[in-house]
Amino acid sequence: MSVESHGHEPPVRGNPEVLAAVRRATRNKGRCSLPDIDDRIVRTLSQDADFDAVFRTKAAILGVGITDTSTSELRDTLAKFVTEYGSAVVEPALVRRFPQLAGLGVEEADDDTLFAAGCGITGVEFAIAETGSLVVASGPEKWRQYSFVPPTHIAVVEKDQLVADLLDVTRHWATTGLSANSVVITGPSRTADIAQRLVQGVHGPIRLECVWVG
Amino acid sequence: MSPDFGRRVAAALAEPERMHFIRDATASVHNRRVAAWSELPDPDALRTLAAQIKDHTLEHLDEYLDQFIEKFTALGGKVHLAGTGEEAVELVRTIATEADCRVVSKSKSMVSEEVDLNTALQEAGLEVVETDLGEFIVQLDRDHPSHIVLPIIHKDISTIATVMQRHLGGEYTEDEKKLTRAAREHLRPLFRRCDLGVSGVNFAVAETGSIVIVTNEGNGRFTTTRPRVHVAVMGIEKLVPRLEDVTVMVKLLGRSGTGQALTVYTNFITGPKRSADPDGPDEVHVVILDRGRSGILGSKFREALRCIRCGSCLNACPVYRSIGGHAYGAVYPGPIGKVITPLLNGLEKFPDLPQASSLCGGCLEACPVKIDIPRMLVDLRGEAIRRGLDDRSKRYGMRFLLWTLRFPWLYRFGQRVIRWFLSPRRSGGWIRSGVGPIGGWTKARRDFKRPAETPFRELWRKELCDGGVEE
Repeated sequence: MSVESHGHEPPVRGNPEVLAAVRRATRNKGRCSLPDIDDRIVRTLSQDADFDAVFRTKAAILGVGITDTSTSELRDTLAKFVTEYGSAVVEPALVRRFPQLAGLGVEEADDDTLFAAGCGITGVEFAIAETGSLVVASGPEKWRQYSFVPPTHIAVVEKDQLVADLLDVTRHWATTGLSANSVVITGPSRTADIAQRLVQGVHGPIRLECVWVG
Repeated sequence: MSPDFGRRVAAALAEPERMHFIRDATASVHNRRVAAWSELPDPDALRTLAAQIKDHTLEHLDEYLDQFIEKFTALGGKVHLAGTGEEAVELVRTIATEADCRVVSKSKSMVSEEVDLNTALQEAGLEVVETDLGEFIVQLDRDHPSHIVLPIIHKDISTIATVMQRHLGGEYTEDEKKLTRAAREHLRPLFRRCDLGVSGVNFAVAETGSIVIVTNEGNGRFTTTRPRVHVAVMGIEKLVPRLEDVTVMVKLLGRSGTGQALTVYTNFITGPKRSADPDGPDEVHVVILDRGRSGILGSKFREALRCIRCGSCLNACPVYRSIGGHAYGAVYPGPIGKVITPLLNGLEKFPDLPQASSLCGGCLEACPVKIDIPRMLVDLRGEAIRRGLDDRSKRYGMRFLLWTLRFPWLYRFGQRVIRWFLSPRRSGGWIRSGVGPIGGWTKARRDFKRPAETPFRELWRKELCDGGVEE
């Protein structure tokens, strides 16, 4: 359903008294101003830090595999992973970016193919040094499910996508606008619900591989 | 102390082994939180910043709610306003009916616990499956979560293994990896066929109309992407003004909740699937719940609405560590629960909760948004007295004490009487079962310290003070 099809229905339903009650409770204003975000407090990395090295260290601690490659070797690098982890679903947008990846896996997957796939290969929007995170976003030819349904997620990162801090990402989005779904991924899925023992791989990917195109 | 609360505390303390591992688990998460905070350049300044952002948002909540609703609906999302839990449940049920949904994938949400959403949806004929691992086990065992972020902190490995074997079949195993894989395999078919996703909301961004959902397991991604319809349920207080504010909040949330620099998935959802997107939900709804919150907003307890539900005050609390979450008899346990449970549900229903604290201040120290919980507990105690909800005998006792303090001879005499009265009941330095006012203390399995042989005043006069004191 698109935006237009909602046209004739009221956008807000339910009890309007909720907003009236909030208005009454917030009549007195003027004591609390909105503070500026002070970078020195929020960022943990100094501007002259080696972001590349920090990203690798942090990602490795989270259990993310990192493989260096080049544009020309990208297909071979990914093909090895596909051999290891089984059939791939590949984000069409990534194939548009790197045409040499055509035929590496299924681009337009149906449900059966998706749930049977051994790995999902996607690009990223950003990589974040501070936390070793990868940011994926939905959009044309970008399947959300490719990054979380298969047991292995392989994320192709280009080195100019690296930023220092999540703050750089949220500030960027505040000016460009967001996709319908943007996710900051910090390591493979995990839980410690069972007796506080850490297990990697719950409902999301069990393994997360970062392929670094230098 | 009301009999209910007393009984629940006694029941908790009757299981020393369980309390022992709750203490260990909370202590370990607490230590991870302390370590994670220390990685920040200035943790105290970041907490202050977060508190200021929240205070400003709450002061202008009417404006930010308007802005959020405008942005969210402009994206094609639908907003539903609920004044009470019943209204919230009814709104979700209507959404499900209108979209003809049958199977619900649910990710963890404290608000849905608050309004008992699962029961209502099941009564309406829907199949509801909790997909957070801890909540899934809670659901299988027909139990209740006992912690805000660690729902089965009260279950040891053998209990979990037994529950999972009974309901999922397979061989009995205490291997946490195998148990987790079993849950993964069990829930995959559900994720394929669910047509309604129900989630909570960690933050709602006024300037973009985005909702932010933070999870570790990946069930949140399934819940918000696979089904045709996604319903997010949130309290009115979840707003932040700007997208960059989310950075401040999630940095504190992950570090405080589990000691992670960031939780695994920080999901920004900005409207339903767009026309060129290959997947994603056709409809995104947000149900905004008041249920007593606007009352808190207009009171001296406003700062309680800063809470980001990280659970770190629970882990820091000597009372929570000793009695676990179920003893509180409320959806929100621990220090923050002692404040918001009476405020959301009525102090007359929970007059004891604000009393269950030594006011040690551990919760304030552990709070990423610096909520002054001890201050509010004292205020709630005062409120209980003003409304006549307190224990009368205590009130008269205090008056009597005040009176004796006016006359030194009476005070000295009283001390002697008490020492004489308590002496036959001594065992070691502790009284294990007392009568009268002490009975209330010892009945809850707390030992009472026997008074010293020599009162401090005598000790002072005889030995410590040079030349004695004049009286």
